[in-house]
Amino acid sequence: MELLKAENVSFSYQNQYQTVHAVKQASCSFEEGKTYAIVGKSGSGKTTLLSLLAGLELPSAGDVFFEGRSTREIDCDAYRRDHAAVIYQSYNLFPLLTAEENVLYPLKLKKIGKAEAKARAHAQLAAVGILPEEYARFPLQLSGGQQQRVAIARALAAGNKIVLADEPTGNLDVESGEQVVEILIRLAHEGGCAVIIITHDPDIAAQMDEVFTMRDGVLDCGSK
Amino acid sequence: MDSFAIKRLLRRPWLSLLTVAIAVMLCAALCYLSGYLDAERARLAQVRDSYDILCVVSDIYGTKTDELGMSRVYSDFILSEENGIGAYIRDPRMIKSFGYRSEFGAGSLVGISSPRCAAALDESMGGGYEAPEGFFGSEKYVCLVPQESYDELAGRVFTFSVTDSAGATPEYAAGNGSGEIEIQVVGWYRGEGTTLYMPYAASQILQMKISGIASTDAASFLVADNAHIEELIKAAAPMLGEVDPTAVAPKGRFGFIIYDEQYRATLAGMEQNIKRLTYLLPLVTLLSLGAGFLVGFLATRGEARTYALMRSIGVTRPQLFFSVLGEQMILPLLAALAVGGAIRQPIFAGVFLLCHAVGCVLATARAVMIAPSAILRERE
Repeated sequence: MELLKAENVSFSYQNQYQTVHAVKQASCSFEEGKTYAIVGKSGSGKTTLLSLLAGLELPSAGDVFFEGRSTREIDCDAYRRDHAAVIYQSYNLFPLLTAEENVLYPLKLKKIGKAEAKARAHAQLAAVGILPEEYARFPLQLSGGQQQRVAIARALAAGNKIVLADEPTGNLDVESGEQVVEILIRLAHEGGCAVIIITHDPDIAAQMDEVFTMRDGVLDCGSK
Repeated sequence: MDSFAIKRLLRRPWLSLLTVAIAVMLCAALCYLSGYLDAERARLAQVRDSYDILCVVSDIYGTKTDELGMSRVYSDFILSEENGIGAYIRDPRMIKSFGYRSEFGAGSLVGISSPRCAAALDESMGGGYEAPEGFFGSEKYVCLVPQESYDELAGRVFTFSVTDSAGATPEYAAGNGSGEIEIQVVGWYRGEGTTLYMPYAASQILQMKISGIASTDAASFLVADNAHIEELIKAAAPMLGEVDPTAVAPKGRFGFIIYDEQYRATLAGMEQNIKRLTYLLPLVTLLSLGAGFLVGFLATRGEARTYALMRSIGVTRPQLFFSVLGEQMILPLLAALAVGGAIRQPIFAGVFLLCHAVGCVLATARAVMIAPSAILRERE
């Protein structure tokens, strides 16, 4: 079932020197239970497209639809809170919160009861291989791979249907990277999520169900 | 404010300590200064109301304050509320002296209108007395004698040969300035000597009897309302002119000297203090605002990524704003409650908190305006 769709989406912004046309008339759609890779060179517009899909930005032209409704019409904060989770290359955990608290944070936003939230957080942390003795550690006390797994647990704990990952293995060693990709693929195929990964790595892209390529803001929808 | 915000706060102990230190310092300064200003204003009002400004009648040159031989017209002018300056003054002290001779010796018989006319009676100057009630307003020939003689003379009536003070008896007096009268001893004053004190009103009757006129040797009084000294001067002008040591053709015979230098110096000092405080308070208020901004700035500096992350997780901008603001305000709030309670200046603790909050709001508003996608876009 189609969850997310971009239709002739363009996005431009003004940087210090010029207007950047980051995304040009991109169209694509994403279904439940599938994994997607968006590949392309640095500066090709991949991350901008991701931020449009996550509702972090609204397109300059065209529309992004979630379950048939444009992100222009829906409450994007609620959309991100309840449906779309973002995983970043640099993990972006809250530095002053422990691993467990980082995972609990979005659950608190969703007003999930304390006991249930804790159970879900522990389950997700365990699912991504974080040991109970590591729950109380702060991000800086964890390795890069552990931090990224906590970030994934945070994205998953809230039960969001769409997971958008911006180069999730970019800062990880090969082994940790493989573990993270494995988790994300499992999440799509077993958990029924739509997982969209931005990556430079052709090996990761090869493991995805579909691959989109971006060149200078133009999205090539040719599947793998 | 959620539990995560409190956790974040407790995990930044240095910033929290700095926040508390700044808040306690500024709140205490504001509360203390405002309390001090109130106290200074109250003290100023008290000084204005209760400071005794002494005015002494003198000759017009200001060189002589006793043996003035001031006729009744003047004493009436000083004492009358309708036709004089009585409404502008309080505690008038009128003195009329005579010489006496009696079976127990000779000395001065002094008519006084108040115990403060003589140091021997004035408690504030170490004196003291015992006299029947209404003694100083009495028109009877009664007198106070030195304490040491009182036991022997108490209640007795003596015949006195009285002479009007030579220098003070005007040449136009009708009588010969001397005569015999009977005076009863009714009380005592602290000390020894030959001076006897009688009521001023009785001394006026006595002088009428022996000299055919009534006059006053010395007069002084206190200003009734210190805030209206100018009105007293204006009201006194027809009879008691401005003292002028260099006057060639003086406008009148008598003037009065106002001893208000110390009063004015005290007042000026307090007014200067109040003025300084009035400038200082807005400065501290501004500092509170600045400190709020500083604390807010320090707390939000380098947190752009965290805020963007919170927004990307679904925290709305108002939620983020109030969460960050709450994080910054909780410690100043506790500090203000503690300091305001301790110094008992809740209003100014509130003023501090408000200013601090404005500073924090400015810093926080700036911080939470960040678009969550900005960090992602930077990398593109």
